[in-house]
Amino acid sequence: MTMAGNINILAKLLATIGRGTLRLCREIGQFVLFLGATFSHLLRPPFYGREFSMALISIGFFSLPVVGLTALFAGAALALQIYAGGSRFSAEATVPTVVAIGMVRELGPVLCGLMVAGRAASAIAAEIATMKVTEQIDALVTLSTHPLKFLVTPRVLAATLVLPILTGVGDILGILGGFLVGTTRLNFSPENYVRTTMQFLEQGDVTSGLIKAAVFGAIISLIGCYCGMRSSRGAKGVGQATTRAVAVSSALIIASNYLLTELFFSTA
Amino acid sequence: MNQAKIAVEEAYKTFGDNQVLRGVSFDVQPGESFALIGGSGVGKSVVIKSILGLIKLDKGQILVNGKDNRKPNSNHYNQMGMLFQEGALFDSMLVWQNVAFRLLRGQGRLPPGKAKAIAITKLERVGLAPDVADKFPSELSGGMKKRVGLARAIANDPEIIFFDEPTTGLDPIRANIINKLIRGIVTETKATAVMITHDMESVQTVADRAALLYDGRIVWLGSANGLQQSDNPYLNQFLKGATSGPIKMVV
Repeated sequence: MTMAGNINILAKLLATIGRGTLRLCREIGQFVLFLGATFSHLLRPPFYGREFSMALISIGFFSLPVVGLTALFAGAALALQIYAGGSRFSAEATVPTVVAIGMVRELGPVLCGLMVAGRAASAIAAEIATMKVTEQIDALVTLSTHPLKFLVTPRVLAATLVLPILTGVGDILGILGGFLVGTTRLNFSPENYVRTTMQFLEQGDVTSGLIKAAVFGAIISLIGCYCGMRSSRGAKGVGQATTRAVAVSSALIIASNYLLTELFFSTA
Repeated sequence: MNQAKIAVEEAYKTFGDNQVLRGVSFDVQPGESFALIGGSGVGKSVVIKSILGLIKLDKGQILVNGKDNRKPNSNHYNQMGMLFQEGALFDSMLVWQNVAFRLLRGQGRLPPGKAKAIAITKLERVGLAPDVADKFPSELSGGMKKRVGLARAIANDPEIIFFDEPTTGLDPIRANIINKLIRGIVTETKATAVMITHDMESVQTVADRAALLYDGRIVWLGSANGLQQSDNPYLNQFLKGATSGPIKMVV
């Protein structure tokens, strides 16, 4: 290949990277503006109680089965894994403690966040994107109602408040899953399992998990709403908004989980 | 001459590489019914959405009641009602909640019982039975959705009503019924009406004046009664649906 050909390929590569970077910067800028507008609307009346209640039910109540089942089986599997791993250095007795700490600090909030992201972020994005496609968002404006205030703030508030509750339920069911496996398969006595669980579990473990869950709730709802609001027209746009909402919110949950763990538990 | 209810002055708007409006100017007098006609994709919806404040112009200005609409306040929308092409009804709400949307929220909100009573009155005005009030929009036909959209547009007795292609998707009989309904409501409420359409029946039935939009400009403006008598080549081609003439269509 000639020198000119190589330069041409390099120029195209740099142009592609440049376009991608500019698009990313634009997207981040628009999200920051969206975030600022959402928080400013959170603090100013009017407040839409009915929309808030509906979001609580839709995000919280209807996510209970999937979150509960996931946590129950995750706790059960965790007990088996810790028992199998712990037996290599005679640490089988740590099963109740590690299950409890693992659930409330990490698995409870992260699994709950990911499950709700799959369920609610997609639903929020699809609903708002469909409203955009069918001109319902324009209709809201002509009816003297700000779309951010009516559609976004109730969902953000509801998700931020309800995720810690869901996580709390998930933590309990996860520990219950570990308890059931521990007492029926791993020869722990029920009294001993419960006592060990309670003995080593600290309030900070629970609080940190619940704070993480609240952050995940905010992420899920903000990304779901943003993707819905920014969707392009047509059925394809709705589909893309939905996929994007789940992918981005899941990735942000994992990334923010690491950052929050550093913040709460870093000893370095 | 009275102050124009709506004055569009030298409106320019570009989306990407597509310059949709290239200096559109017209005004609508109080109580007048004005139709903006033109082919698909010429920017009729952009004009109406610009008047509503949903789209910001690149250049030019729009005055509503003499006030610049670039920073619309809640009063700007309180004086307006809009019938969207597909109705744009909120799927998660009952029909009466859609109609009474504005009455149930904001300053001067009404108790649900009173708001529902007003909604039912408006539904009856557009020819729908009271039992429709407790249905969801998904249970209605296209024509019924348009009527509900119309009832919602007139729920707070606005001074200006916008109609976005009100007869699109309807058979000729239903389209005629909707046209007459709109005419009746506009006459009765003495509201100023702005309609965008490419249905000449709608123009003849509803409008006092009309303008033809092509290539981002108004190429004809005149009385709706004089449509057929005009010797404007653009209008003649549009009315006849001729493929040759000054209007170039990309197929």
